[in-house]
Amino acid sequence: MVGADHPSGTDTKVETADKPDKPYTPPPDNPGSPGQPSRRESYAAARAAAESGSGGEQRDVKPSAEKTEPAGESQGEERPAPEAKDRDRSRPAEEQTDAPEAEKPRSEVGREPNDDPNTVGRPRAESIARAIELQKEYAAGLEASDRTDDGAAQPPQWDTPAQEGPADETGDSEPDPPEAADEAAPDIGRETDDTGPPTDQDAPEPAEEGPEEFQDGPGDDTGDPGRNIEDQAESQGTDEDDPVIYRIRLPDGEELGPSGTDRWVYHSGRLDPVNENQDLSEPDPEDGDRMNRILRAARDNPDDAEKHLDNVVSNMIKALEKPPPAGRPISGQDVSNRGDRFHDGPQSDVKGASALVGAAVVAMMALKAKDVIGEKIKEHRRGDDGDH
Amino acid sequence: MMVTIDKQLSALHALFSGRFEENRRLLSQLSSEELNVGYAAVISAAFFEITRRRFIRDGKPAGDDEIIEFVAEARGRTADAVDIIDPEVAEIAINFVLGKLPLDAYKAVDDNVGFRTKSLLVAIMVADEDFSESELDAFMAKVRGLTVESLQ
Repeated sequence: MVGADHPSGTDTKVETADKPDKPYTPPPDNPGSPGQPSRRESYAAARAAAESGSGGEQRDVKPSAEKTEPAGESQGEERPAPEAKDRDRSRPAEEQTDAPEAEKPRSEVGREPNDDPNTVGRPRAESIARAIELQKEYAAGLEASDRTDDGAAQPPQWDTPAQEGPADETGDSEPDPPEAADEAAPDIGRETDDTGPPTDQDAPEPAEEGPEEFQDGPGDDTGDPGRNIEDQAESQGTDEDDPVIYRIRLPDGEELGPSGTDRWVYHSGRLDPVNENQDLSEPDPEDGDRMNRILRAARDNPDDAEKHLDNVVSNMIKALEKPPPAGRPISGQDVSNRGDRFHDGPQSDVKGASALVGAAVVAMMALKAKDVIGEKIKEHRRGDDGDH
Repeated sequence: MMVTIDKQLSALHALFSGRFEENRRLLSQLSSEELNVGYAAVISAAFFEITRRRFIRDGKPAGDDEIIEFVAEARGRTADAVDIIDPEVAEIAINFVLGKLPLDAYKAVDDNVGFRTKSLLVAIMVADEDFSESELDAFMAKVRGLTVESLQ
């Protein structure tokens, strides 16, 4: 899992320094397949042999395993084939001892020869050479036991994914030195993916150092997501110093603003109308405050309100029952139609009716007078006729 | 001190609405303190609102002549009005709420006399306004707010 999560973590820092001249295609690794011993079994045998050696030798081997293992985890598929192992074993000792040195990560290359914290006064090359010798001894002893029924040679136990750490990091397909197999190979390549850290006291150290080394690398790998994020953050930080220019995008798709930016903001395309007639004047706060003070100062605090209450209420009721005086302005409201409104109408009607009645009476009196006068005229004519 | 004014407002609203029995019943339920503080505050707020409504036109208070004439006419409204309404107190109270007098002008007025004078003047001015029911409700709502404000 570690290798899968960080596919090119520590690889990057080693690739530039350890790119080999001779390309190598890693042989298929099928631990546990027919004719091939399981990794655990191989590791147990290698460990038993390593424990038989001196303590100083173990310490010499350990640092290399720590450094190389993480990359081996990351590329567990690239396992050296048995042929490669044979070829590796057939190589001169100088080449084998030099190879690990060349394949070291950049961080290790820059160190002093005896900068191994676990080794005092011993050069790294010497430690690795001794470890390789031990590994050869182990491999020689294992070859006999690794042979299957068909007689095919089995890869040594340290040809595990973890062993190939340096090779994977550098892209080199050469098998790793034996110290890598001794310490880191067994459980980290596959078992840590499934069961977590191994219980062996020496094995967890490389696994734990792997991520740290991964993070502390020089960062040559541009494919590292973590580094990409950091780079982006840095680039954003520099961008903040520059003014941000936006374009305005209108609802119809039209964009306004400088063309040198791909940032845009949406605008509805219209502005709220401004009411030019709005009253922006604010009430005088002093007036309001003065009114409040008047209101509070005008509040009465009687101590005998109950004493004259009945008399006061009776007069209030009388005042309310009595209609207001007609024609008197009461308040700011238009009261011209109040008071006499209900009296003016009927009075006019009465006056009109009286006039009609009076006219009728006058008319009747006139008719009556006419009749009387007519009869008197007739009687006067009859008297004149009788005289004659 | 927290004073409840709901009953006082209801009593005055009932009085102005012509529900005199209800007004008397509600007033009889009030304690002396509720009358002296709460009801007096409601009367003062109603006087403040109805006086300014009547005597302020176009933002300007009415002149002294108009106020004197009104007080004189009010004292003749009822048989006992001449005894209840003190003309000097009435004119000071009206001019004070109209903002025509200094803020300390009302301190010389006796609170008992002022309460009685204002009570009858309020009834007279409300009668003159001839409020409709909705107008009376709005008026009473304003009175409530002013009463709360005056008691703070």
